[in-house]
Amino acid sequence: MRAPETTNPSDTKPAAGGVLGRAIAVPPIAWLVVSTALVIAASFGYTPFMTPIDLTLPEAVAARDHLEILRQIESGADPNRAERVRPDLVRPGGYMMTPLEAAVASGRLDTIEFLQQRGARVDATTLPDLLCFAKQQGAADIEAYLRRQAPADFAPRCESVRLPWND
Amino acid sequence: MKPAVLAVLLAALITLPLAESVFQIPIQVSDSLEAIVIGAKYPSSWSLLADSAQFSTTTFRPMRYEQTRWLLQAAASTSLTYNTVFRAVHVALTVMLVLLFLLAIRVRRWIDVAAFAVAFPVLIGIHTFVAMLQEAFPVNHFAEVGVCALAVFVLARQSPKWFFPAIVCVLLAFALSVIESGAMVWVVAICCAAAGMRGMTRSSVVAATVLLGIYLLVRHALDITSPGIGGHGSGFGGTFYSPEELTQRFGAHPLGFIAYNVAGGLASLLFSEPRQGVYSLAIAWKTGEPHAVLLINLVSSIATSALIAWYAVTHLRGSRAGWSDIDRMFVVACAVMVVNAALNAAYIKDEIISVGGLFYAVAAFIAIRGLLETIPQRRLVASALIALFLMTDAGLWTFRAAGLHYVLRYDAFKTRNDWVELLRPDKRDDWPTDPQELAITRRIRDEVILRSVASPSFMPRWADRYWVE
Repeated sequence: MRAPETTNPSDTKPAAGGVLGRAIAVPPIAWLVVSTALVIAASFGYTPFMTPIDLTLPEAVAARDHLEILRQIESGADPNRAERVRPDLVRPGGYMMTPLEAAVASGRLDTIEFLQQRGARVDATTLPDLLCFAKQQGAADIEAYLRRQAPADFAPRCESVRLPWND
Repeated sequence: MKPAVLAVLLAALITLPLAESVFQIPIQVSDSLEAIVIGAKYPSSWSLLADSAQFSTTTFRPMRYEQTRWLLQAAASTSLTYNTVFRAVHVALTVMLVLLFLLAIRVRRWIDVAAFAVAFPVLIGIHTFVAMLQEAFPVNHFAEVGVCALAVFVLARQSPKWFFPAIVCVLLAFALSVIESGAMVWVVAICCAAAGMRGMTRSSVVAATVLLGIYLLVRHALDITSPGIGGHGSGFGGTFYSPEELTQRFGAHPLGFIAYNVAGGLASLLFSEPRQGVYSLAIAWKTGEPHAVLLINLVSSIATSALIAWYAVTHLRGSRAGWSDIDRMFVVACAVMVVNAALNAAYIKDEIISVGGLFYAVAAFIAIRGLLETIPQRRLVASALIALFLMTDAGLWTFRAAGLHYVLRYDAFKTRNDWVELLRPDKRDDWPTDPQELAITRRIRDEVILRSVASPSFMPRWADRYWVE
């Protein structure tokens, strides 16, 4: 079973490669440099691969982070309050939105249902705006879902509804 | 600075952030919660061990539940959270994989450091490695098997000692008791002995084989069968089929499908295609939309596999007696890949070939080192082309390896959000009726809610194109 220990002639050759050989270490070293730069940047508050710690409830909605939504609501956040949604989450610009508006803007019906089950109000005061946002977004499933919660003869005037965003 | 120190430093700097990404993944609902609840509910370890042998008609994994119970007890005695304890074990396994890889390849010269700089990204960039980090049951059994397999390989590189057979048997017994893929530990031992590696003596092989035989007898005695075709979904060509569809299509004449799976398993290791039996390249060819991630994976794997093939052709011409120790290691690495592919007979899964992925990196290290050693004998243009080739290959693998962080963060987000569906106030009928089960579920859920993970919405949007298949 055992074989005598042998040595490949190449094992005894002098170290080779020089500059060319070391060149292949460039990509992993570049990776290390990037990682180090990210760590240093993080100490100055720049965290491109992390969720910001000051995440608002509508932002959690826009990020489709249901457990974060749950955590914030269970910690006392108001599911009907308009708060900041930073740029590029649902629109290029940053706007004030309610969680339901953010859910409509991001086109997530499951998030709307999730919010409703946890206290977000879809009633006479919010329904017209939400329906018009859904229509404007082309979110047919959300529009149909919201219509089912409206009276049969309900017909909002969308031309008079002001969107929470203007881009 | 010594080459070995630099290699360890390089590995540590790359592994530590990886460990952080692994640690961020919360305990999973699927696969993990059930095992935790079972582990907690049993009155004693012995009764759990006895009963767990018959939990399933197709699997025999007593240590899955036993180690879960031990970790729950560790959490209780240290006042740490369940998430901290279970994730720390996963991190420890990741670090052990890296350390054992370092021990297996033994970086001693500067040329080894250069080869290591390419081979290490291969180790953690290959798609089978992520399978050892993403899933947990609640301890990732494939990572455990990988650690045991690499440990046996490292032993085989040493001068033989009287206690080696005992260590091999302990590692094999542990691996077999967590998952069926643990048989790969025996495969590694046999391959090492067949290739003539010094540390793997006849007594180690006999002891390991006897142990495997006992394991098979116990399975037979307990009426535990292996899942056949239809036991798990798998792909064929450009389509993924459910278990029922597989049974319908291939159940009557399975040989062709088995051959496809074995060949596909090996191809997956060598070319990163197919994945779960599905050739994404075929789909891309049809649709005319090849994804960037597909091309990056394919090109990097083909380049490295070509290098491995070059080494095999140029260094293994003579008989076994003429091979160097490094050549023997290379033969073992290639043999383990081939045998591991055969384990995919019923279905192809990245996890099943994860041990093969570790040995692919070992083979890559040897082949790269072999190529670098030829540089002094080559002309300047040829040397420059080799360096350019290796630099490109290393760059692609490094890019793949960096993507692991993105994939793990994405997984952490998904895993955390799976807990939303548990203990819903509007679905109280679905809550566990057993008070102990309810308490454990609530405790882990509360821990997970407080755990902060990165949302994909705050990560670069281009990342999906380049890192997610």
